Amino acid sequence: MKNLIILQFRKSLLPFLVLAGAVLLSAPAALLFRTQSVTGAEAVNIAMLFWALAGLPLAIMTLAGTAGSDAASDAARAVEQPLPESQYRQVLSALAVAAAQTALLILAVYAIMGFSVPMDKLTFTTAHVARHYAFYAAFLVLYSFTLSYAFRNAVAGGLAAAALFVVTAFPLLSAALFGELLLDLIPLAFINSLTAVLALAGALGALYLLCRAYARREAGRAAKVLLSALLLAAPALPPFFGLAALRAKAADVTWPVYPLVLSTDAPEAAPGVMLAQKPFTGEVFLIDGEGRRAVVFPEDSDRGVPNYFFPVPSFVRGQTMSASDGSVWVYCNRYDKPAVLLNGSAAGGLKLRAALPDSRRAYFVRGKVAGIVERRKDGAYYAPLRTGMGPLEWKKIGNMPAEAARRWLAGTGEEALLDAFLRGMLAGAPGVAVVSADGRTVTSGGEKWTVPGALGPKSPLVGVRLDDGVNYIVPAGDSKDYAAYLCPPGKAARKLWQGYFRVGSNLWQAPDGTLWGYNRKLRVDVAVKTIFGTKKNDLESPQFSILTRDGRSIESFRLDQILRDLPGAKGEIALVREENGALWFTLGNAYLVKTGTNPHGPYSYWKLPQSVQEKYWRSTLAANRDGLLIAALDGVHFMDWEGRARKL
Amino acid sequence: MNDSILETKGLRKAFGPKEVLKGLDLSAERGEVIGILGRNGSGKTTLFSILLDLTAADGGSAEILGLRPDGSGRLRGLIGYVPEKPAFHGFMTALEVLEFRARFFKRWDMAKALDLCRKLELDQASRVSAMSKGNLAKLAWIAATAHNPELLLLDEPTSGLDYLVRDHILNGLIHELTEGGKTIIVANHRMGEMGGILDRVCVLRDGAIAASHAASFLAEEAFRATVRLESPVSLPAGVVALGGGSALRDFAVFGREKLERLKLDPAFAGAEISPLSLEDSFKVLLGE
Repeated sequence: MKNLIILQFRKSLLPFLVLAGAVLLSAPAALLFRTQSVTGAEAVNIAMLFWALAGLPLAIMTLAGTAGSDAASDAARAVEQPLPESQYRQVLSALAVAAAQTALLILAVYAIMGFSVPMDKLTFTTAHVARHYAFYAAFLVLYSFTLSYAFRNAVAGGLAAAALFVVTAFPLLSAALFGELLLDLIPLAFINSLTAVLALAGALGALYLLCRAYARREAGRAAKVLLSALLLAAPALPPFFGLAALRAKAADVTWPVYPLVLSTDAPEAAPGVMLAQKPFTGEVFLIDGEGRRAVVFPEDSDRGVPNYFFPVPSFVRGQTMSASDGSVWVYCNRYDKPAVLLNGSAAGGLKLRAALPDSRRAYFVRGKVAGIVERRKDGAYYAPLRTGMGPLEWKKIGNMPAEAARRWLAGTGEEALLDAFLRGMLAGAPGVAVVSADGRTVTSGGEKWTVPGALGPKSPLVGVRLDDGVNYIVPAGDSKDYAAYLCPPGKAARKLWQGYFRVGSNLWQAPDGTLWGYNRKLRVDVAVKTIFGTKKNDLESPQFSILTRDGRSIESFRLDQILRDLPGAKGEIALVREENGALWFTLGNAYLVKTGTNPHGPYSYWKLPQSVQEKYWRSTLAANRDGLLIAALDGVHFMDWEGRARKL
Repeated sequence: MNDSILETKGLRKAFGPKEVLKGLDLSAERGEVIGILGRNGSGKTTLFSILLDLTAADGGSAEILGLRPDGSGRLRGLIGYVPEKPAFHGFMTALEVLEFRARFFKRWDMAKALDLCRKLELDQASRVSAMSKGNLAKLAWIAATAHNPELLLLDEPTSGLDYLVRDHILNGLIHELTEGGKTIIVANHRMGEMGGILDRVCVLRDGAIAASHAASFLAEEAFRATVRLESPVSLPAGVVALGGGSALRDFAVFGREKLERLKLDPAFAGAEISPLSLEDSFKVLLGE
């Protein structure tokens, strides 16, 4: 074999030296002809990137293609095949030399780049190619050689190899891009490995069969050629099946529909239901814990050919709100359809109350009668939401001054534009208190509380309903000594917890009414000094303050041990239930945990169905009194408080 | 000791719809020199290609030097082969060709190769791409014999050689080989020039060995009978009409016994009997 390799190398020495010389000379040429805005190193890198992305693939196709067609030529049959070596080994030696020459050219380019690829300067596509360069180069060598051997023509073989390369690499690139930018839905590393193995085995197997058919002229030539073609096409299968699996899995991916405007004073989402979307099919639906669903937008039947090769998500924005009769208001805005306002329930279906063709942004607002505010081109409009089938009664509540329009187009400014109106609406809503201008008096209905001086904006305060009625939490004090004050019905205000707490900001109410707040939202990774003087990574839990429905306060509650025990739970930590001293938390979108008030006591945990949380840290959960609705990778699931889960 | 060097049984090979070999049986003993006689396209080169393990047979069996063709190329290391159209890498000199080949053959004798270069007047420094047809043939001879093979396959081995070289090869080299106990299978259109060295002649026709004769039989018991015939006669087996004038006709008679029997036929009374040349014998055997 060694002698054959020496022979093959000598045969292809001239074209190889020409190509290697061109690579080497391009470095000084790049330095010589660089523009002033480019440094010498950058100019050389640009030249080498050109080689890597365009020059080398052509060089590979030329070297390997020529070697392949030459191995199948009559000259090789007459000159080399009579040598006492198997014909397959002779062909393999030619392939090995083409591969070695390719490796040397790549090594030369890599060495000139200083054995470092400037990944940060590359686009995603070129960075992906750089990461998988060895595979792509090997693929081109194998296939240019084998197909040129099959066609006995370097040009035809090279072009066919390039075509097969595109067919194989494009789905891989698409899937990698999808995984990088969106979700890891398929085992891409496995598919890459399988493709590499099939490419190697397929090309070598095809070469063996072709060698038997062409060189040894064995019987059954047509069958061997056909089998070779199948083997050569084999590596294209995993990427295409992978892409098909990706599309199928993407079609099941479910996300919650998030509201357009995150206002701390926005009405709560309707309890017991989740407004969910399947971004890769376009379907939007309202679903409850029993799995009953009402469609808001149906699936798109045709999303276009480009979407076949790269599933593109289309997200909707929307909001739910309970109506006074227990039904649900749904507002949903999809980029390619008129926004809709619906009313109904997941069980009984949704009825269209209004299409909002001019709607750009809309959201529900509190008030004596809850309503919807809609931003249109010429201003802002408000309509109270009353159940029934009558048309909405829109009222213009503000023009669109030039500055507001500019900000609106830029995506900001609703609150600023409508601040007075929204405050007025909020102040008139039930369960909302008003803070006096000096911050010392809080009033709601006929009740009045005195506090040391409310901190923050003097906007109306949304109350929380506990067993004794609607309570208000007011952050008050001065800049050195401040606390959350509880204003309960019929009683004087009292200090609840030290620190700043405000409903909707860092104070929330679980579906069962338990009030909970935290000093910060997420866990923190910290470096801790050990007794040996070294540092190790540790976790620091948020510090929770909890007020149960019946008025019991739990302060400085931490989850350090649980967080250490359950690694990988990233994202928000939320209290979702309290019952007889037991607390239920969700850790990110990963775990449901049930624990006692002793942070070092026993606890139970349940893994939640896999959701999109790895890449997107927003919560995919909607808690209600009975359990959790979970938007997961494969649809919506429900998990009760003892961890029993079912797919809806 | 088993003296069988080569044995094929029922060898078959087709290229597409064309059946080239249709059950060929051939055997050769150690030291035997066999001429394969066949017309163009009769399958001589295909037979050699199968024996060299370059082409796979579709059916039948072959055993050469105790090995069966398996695609490994081992057989080619034991066989000397002079192809009809010798070819070498054009960028090499004659010496480089020999040095290159030396790496593949365990029993390569470089001294012998260089000696043959001298005897055949082949310039070792000449580049293959600049070689004449005759020099290529010389180089092929040297490459085929320098590794002392037990079996030589010669496919039109004197093609392109001038008279002197041909004579040197036929009367020198091949005799030397045969005396050294080498087995030689030769296909040559000009088989007559090989006459003195052949032990046996096999006629390859319709993809099989149609006839096999000892060379001594052809040399000693092939006759030309020239006779004036007044009327058509039916010819017995072993007698072949060669042509001739309208009345004076030539016949080839194979076998002394057949000749004696022919003489008894009144129609052949007075026939002039003379030995048939090997060249003419081969023509008759080929059916020309």
